[in-house]
Amino acid sequence: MLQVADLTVRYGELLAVDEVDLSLQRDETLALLGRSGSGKTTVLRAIAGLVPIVSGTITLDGIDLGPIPPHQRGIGLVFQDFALFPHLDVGDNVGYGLRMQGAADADGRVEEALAMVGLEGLQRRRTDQLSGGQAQRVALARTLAPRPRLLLLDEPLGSLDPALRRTLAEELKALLDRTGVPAIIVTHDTEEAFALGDRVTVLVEGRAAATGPPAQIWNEPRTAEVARIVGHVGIMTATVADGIAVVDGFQVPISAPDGTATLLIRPGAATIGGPIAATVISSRYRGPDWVATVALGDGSIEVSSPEPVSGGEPIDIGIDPTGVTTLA
Amino acid sequence: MTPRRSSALLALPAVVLGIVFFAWPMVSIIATGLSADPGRIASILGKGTTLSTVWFTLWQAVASTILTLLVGIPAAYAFSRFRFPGRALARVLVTIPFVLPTVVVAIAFLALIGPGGVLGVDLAGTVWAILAAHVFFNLAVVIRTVGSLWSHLDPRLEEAAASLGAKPWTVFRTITLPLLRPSIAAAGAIVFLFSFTSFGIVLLLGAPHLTTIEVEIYRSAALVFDLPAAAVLALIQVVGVTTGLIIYARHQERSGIGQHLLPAVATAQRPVGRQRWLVAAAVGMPLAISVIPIAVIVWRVLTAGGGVGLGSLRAIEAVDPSVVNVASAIGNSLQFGVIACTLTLMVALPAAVVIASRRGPMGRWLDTLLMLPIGSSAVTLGFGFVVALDAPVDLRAWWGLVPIAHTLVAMPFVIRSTVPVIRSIGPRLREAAAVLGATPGRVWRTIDLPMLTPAAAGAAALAFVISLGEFGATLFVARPGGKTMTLAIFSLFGRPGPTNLSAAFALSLLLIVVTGAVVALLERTRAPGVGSF
Amino acid sequence: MKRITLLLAIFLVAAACAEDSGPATVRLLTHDFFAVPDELLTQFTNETGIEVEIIRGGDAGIVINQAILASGNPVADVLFGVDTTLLSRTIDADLFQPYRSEIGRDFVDQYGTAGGLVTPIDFGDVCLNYDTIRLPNPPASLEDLTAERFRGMLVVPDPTISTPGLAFLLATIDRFGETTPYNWRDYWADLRANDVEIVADWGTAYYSSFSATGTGSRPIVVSYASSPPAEVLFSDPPIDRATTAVIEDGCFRQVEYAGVLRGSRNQDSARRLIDFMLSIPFQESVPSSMFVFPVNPAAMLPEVFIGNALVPSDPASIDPDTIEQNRERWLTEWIDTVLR
Repeated sequence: MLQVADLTVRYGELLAVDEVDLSLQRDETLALLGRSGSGKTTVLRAIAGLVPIVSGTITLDGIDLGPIPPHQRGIGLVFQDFALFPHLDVGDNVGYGLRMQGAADADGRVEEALAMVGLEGLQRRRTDQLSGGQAQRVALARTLAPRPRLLLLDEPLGSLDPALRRTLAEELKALLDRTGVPAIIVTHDTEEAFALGDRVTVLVEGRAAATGPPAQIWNEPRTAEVARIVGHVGIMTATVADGIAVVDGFQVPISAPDGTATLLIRPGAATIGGPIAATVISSRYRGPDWVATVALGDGSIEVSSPEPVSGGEPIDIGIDPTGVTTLA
Repeated sequence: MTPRRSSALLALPAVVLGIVFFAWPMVSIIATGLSADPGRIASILGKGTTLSTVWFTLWQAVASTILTLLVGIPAAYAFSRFRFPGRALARVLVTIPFVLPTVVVAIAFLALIGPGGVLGVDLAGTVWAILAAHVFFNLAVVIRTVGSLWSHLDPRLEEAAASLGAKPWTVFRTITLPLLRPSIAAAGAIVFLFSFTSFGIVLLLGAPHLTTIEVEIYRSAALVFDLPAAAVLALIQVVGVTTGLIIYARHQERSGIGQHLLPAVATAQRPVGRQRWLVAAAVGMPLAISVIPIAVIVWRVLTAGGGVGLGSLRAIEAVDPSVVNVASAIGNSLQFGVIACTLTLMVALPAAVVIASRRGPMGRWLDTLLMLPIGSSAVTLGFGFVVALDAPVDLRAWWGLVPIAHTLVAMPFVIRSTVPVIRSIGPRLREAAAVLGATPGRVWRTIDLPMLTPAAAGAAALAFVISLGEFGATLFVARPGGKTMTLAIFSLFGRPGPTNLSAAFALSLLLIVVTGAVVALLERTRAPGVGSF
Repeated sequence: MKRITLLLAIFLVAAACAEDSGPATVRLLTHDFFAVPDELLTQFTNETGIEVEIIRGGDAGIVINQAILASGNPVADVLFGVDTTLLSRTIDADLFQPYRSEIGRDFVDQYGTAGGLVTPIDFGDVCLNYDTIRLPNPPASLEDLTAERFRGMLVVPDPTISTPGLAFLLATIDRFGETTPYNWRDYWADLRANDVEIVADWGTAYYSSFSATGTGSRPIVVSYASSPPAEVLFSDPPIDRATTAVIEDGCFRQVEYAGVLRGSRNQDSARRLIDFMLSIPFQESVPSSMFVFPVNPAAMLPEVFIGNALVPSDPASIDPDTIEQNRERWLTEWIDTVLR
């Protein structure tokens, strides 16, 4: 339903978004993942019509949005800082879009929208009396109440504390499933992107570096940059000869020409005990087990350990070849 | 970001008003004066008295500004960072002097520190009396301008500095002061302008050898009839004020630090322990400076005619209406106040929108240039009206000149108090409204306007009070019809007879009460956002 | 945009109002101390069909300078408030259209008319006042003021800023002369040696420094001959006699003139206004409205003025031309003598 093609946005000299292509299906949630400054928020703002685009097209249900001003696009946007109107109470905030539409039964729909986010009866509350989580829900209810064709969420959980983030992420997921509104969620948090997105697009310096279902992005990040953004650690250079890649004492068959290649060893692929002699760099306690960071080639990998190990100690490890992929 | 730059056209009314009723008359009268006898310019400039007048004007203005800042900044701190009983009342009390007519203040000060004064020292005719009165007048400017920024400063910044090992004084010097600098500079600039062009205070409390440029202009124009001298002095004054404003604008341009501002409620706390004494001292000092002269006026009203009571208010009725029509003066003042207030809002708010949306030099220059009228000679402007406004329509004796002059004086204050609020609305809220389906017009109506209303109401009240208390510009404009309250007070002080004096004091008290009420109202509607005044 | 249009509309309407004052209005430019009972104005309008619009422009000096700046293209039709010290300046600026009112035929000339250009309306004497309680034996003459027993007793408004101050200076110049062995500068040097106090204006002198009416300690002040009756007239509770009185020596007479402004478009109405100002009802109102005396000898004084006021028999006066030619030099010399 949403097609973004060759989208380019500049802020003066700065190229913020560089020929990005995106598509979104009905009932789908797309997560835009990237570091700060990667242009992900700008993509959202371009879709909402809040920044002028240099080139490219954005079509919604086959209609070019280019000439349509933001207030006529029918797209909902939840801002990172929520942007609740401080001079209006909760009910009037949620009802704002409905009033703009001149909707009948605005009160009923406000009540409905508030119920949807679990804030029944808070209509007359002032916005500065809301907790962070409540403010987020009000912002969501405000955006959903006019029933937008497309929902855009800019770091919707970004300003909340971690415990709350997890609960709200689940609620949000359920809500998106329930309402069936197609949505684009911008986040810098891999876990959040994977939890909420049916598909994930990773943005690197204004370009779409990878797109796919979360598992695909995780397992086959394709480039070292994407791998780092989704949180991988085990990235290193290997020498390749006759289809065999070698890093220190570790060998694995890959399909790559002779020379060097970049390998990604996924977490969990390496275990203690095995043929490879390596050195521990450091270890940290993570919950039931310890995680040892072990030097390998010009990189390092993480290995789960039942007991603490200290930096400098030798360690023998094994690596499951199916947990290894090559990166561009 | 959307290039939602408000059209510069919105600033047009303010600019037109400034050109037609300020720049054009000033240029005309100065040109007239200079061309009358070009040979004399050099001799006037070279005169020793001119030099000493300019020097005295400058140094007393600097001294007044520094003293006002020294008393005002601790008070601004106490008012903005602490909650204490009577804070609202104290704020009202320190604001009243700002709008009192100079004649009233001079009489009150003479009763205090003049010959036979209550305080037992005779400072009349010394520079101390002038400085004291300037501090009295301008404290509110510092307390309100600096205090409002201070109350929104994020206290965590200071806490961060303290945790990094900075002593309290170092925290203040390295963190708080630099963050406050824009507002201190703004307040200082206004106090400087008022002191630099001080007329009534210097005339009445000073001595014949302690004169400011403005007093010399008056002397040249009113008694010696030396228009070239008046023009040269007015030119010096305009150049001085403009130079000051340019330095100020440059400084503001450099020191514009973006910072996160918090709602005031989040930063104010109850003083504890030793803080109580500090707060008491910081508030007590300006309060004493403000209240004691006001108390003198109240006391004189209460004790006039022998006994203690409000009986002397009847003196107002006793004044022969053919001499000074007090009722019509009150009516005129209210009428001019309403007109000036409406006009100021109509002209200053759109200009504020333009200034707020342009962080670049253009907005700042507009802002700075609109301050020029408060730093210019009222005598000269009055003559300028006579010279410049005869064609195409003869406006020289138009009643509207008075509210327009008041508008020119009030405009910088209204702009200063609304620009930060407009800025605090921020693009995010407008975007949120737009994506919720609001057209640009509805965004203005449903977001900007309601959020601006408290600040605009405060600004309106301020413009009203400024109009009510304005004296200099009103006095020197040829105006048909009756007098305003301040002029009536002035006239009554100029006539012999005890009831005239009583009526003058009673009318002053009335002005104090009206001002106090309006300021109190202004306090209640103070914007929850950031307002400079 | 709407706002701009509205603003323009307001200006145009207002400007139209300013223009459209009609032929039945006469404009009187005057100073802030001008006062006239409303009923007299109403009476004038009823009799002549002419409305009077009073335009005030500050104190006398300012108003006259405003008028001079607009000479030939006046803001108003009649100017009132030119006094003796200012007259020459207005004549030099060619401010007036000649007019001699029939009403004043018999008495205006003794006050001067500058060749028929202006009409005297009232006169007042600037005189020394003293505190009758504090000073049972007042000085009898200007010379006495330099005596040791009146040391630190006199307060004078600054002649460079204040009109009564200037009048007092002129009285001393008239008395002691310029080239005499003991001239006015010597006299002021003696006053200075005798601790004369100089304050900015009359109000400060009278209401602050003067012991009888102010909070100060000086029992002798430069004020008006009409000040003592004002103390009686405006006392509360009522009193019979003032606690202040006039010293007859050293008074200076100031005549206040009115004239038809050159370029006025309502010359006829302007003349009728001047006639009105010479008429008995107006003349009888000036003592209590403006504390000055009528020039029309047929006007009756209010009773309180008869008992308490004093019209000095031989006040000083200096020809307006002489004042005009020497004012600046005199003031500079005065500053050098008294302030430096």
